[in-house]
Amino acid sequence: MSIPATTAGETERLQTAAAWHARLETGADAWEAFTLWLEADPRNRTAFDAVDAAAREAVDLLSVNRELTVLAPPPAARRFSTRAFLGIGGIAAAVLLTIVARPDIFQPDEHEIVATVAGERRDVTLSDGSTVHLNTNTQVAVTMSRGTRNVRLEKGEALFEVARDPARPFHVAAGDRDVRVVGTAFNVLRHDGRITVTVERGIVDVTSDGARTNVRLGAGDQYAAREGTRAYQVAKIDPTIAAAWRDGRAVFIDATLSEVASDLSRYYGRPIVVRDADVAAMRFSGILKIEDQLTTVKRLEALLPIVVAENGDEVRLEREAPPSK
Amino acid sequence: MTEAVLGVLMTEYLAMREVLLRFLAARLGDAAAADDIYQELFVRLKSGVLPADLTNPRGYLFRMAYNLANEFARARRRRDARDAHWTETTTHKVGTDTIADATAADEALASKERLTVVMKALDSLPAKSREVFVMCRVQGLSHRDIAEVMGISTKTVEKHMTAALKHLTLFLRSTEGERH
Repeated sequence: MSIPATTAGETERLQTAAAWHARLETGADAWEAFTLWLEADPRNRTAFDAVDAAAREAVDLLSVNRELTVLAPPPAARRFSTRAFLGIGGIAAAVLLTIVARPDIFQPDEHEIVATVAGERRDVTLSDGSTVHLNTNTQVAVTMSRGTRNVRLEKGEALFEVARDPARPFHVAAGDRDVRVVGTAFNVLRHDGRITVTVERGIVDVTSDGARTNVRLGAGDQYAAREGTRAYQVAKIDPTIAAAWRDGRAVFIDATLSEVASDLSRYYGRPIVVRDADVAAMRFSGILKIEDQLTTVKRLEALLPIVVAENGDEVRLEREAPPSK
Repeated sequence: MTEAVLGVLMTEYLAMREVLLRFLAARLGDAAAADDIYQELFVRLKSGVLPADLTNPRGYLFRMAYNLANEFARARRRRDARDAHWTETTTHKVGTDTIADATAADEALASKERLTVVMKALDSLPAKSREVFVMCRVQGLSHRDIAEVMGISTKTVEKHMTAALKHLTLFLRSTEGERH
C-alpha cells in the first residue's frame, strides 16, 4: 500500500522510534539516551506516540481474539519431531525421517517408564537435567534420543521443568495432543477424556494429532480440550494453582461438585461419586489439603450442605438431610 | 523483605526527582503532566505490589514512569481523536451547548471498523515479524526466548520487532482517515 502522507525523513524518524520501542519494552536500561533522543526534536516524541499507540491497538486486538495469535507451524527444517513430519506427508517426510532416525542406530534411545499409585507423588530427574513431578495415579514413558526428548503421559498429571536445550526439542504427548517445549515449566493433566496444559513460565506449542497448526501458550495460559475433538479453549489463570498439587493441595475455582469428586478420586483407591443431580451441580471454590480420603472429603461437609457416606467400594456425596421439625 | 524494597525505592524516588521529571517532560512534551505523573508514581509505589527482590531500583522507577507516561499519552491521543471526530461530524450547537448526534450504535460501528483495520495491519505483516510481535507483546516472552524458539539471534529478533512496529504504525496512520 502507498503511504503518501509520510516523507522519507519521517519514515526514518518512525524507524528510530520503533527501534526505541522494541528496545525499551524488553527491559533495555537506556533511559538517559532515550531522554536525549526525545529532547533532540519534539517530532521524535510524536513519532514515539504513534508507534506506542499502534502497538497498543494491535496488542489489544490480539489479547481479546486469542485465535488470531495462532501461528502456522514453523518450517519442517526447524522441527525434529516425527509427528510433525508425518503431518506434512508425502515423500519429503519419508526422506527426512530416515535422516532423523539414523543417529539412533548408533546411539540407542534411553527408555524409561515411571509411575505413581493413587495417593503417591514422585519427582524424577531425567538424564538431560529436566525434572518431572508426578502427581497421583500417573504414568509417563520417557524416551531420550539424540535429536529429541519425548515423554508420553499415559495417564494422570505431571509438572515438567524442562532444561534448556534448543537442539533437542522436548515433547510431551498426552492422548491426541502433542506439547512442544523449549525451556519452561508447565503442567499437563490427562483425566476423564480431558487434557489440560498449564504453563508456569516460558512457552509451549500444543498440536492435536493431524492438525496443521499449533496453539502457542505463554506463562499463565491454560489450554483445555476434550480428547477426540479438535476444539480447545485457552484461558488465563494463575499457574501456581495448577501446580498446587505439589504442595499436597487441590485448588478449585467455581468447580461443580461432580468435577471436584472426579478430580479428588484420582488421589484414592476408592472412587468418590455424586448420584444426586442437585448435589452434582453445587459449586465449590476452595483449597483442599490432600490427606486420607475421608478427612479430605469430609472437609466439604463444613463448606457445603452435604454429607459424606461410604462403603467399601465408594465414597458418596449426598444431600444433607433437612433439619427435623 | 518488601519493606526494605519499598525503603530503597522511596529513597531512589526522591533522589531521582530531577532526572525523572526531565524524562517525563521529554516523553510527554508537557511539564504539568510530568509533575502529575511524578506524583502518581509515588501513589503507585505506596499501594502497588513490589518485587520481592530488586537489583536495579533506578531502572525500576524509570520503567514505571515510562509505563505511566505511555498510558497517559495513549489516553491523550484517544481524547484528541475523539474530540476532533465529534466536533467535526457528530455534534451540533444549540445556543451555547454542544449536542452530540452520535448514537451508541454509530460508535460501536466505528470501533468495529477500526478493529478490521487493525486486523488488516496485522495480516499484512511479514510472517516472522508477526510471530515475533505476538510472542513478545502478547505472550510476554523475552527476546532471548524468542531467539531460541525461532532459531535466530536476539539482534535479528530486535530487527523483526522494529520492522513490525514501524509497519503497524505506518499502516494505521495511513488509514487514520477511515475513522471518520
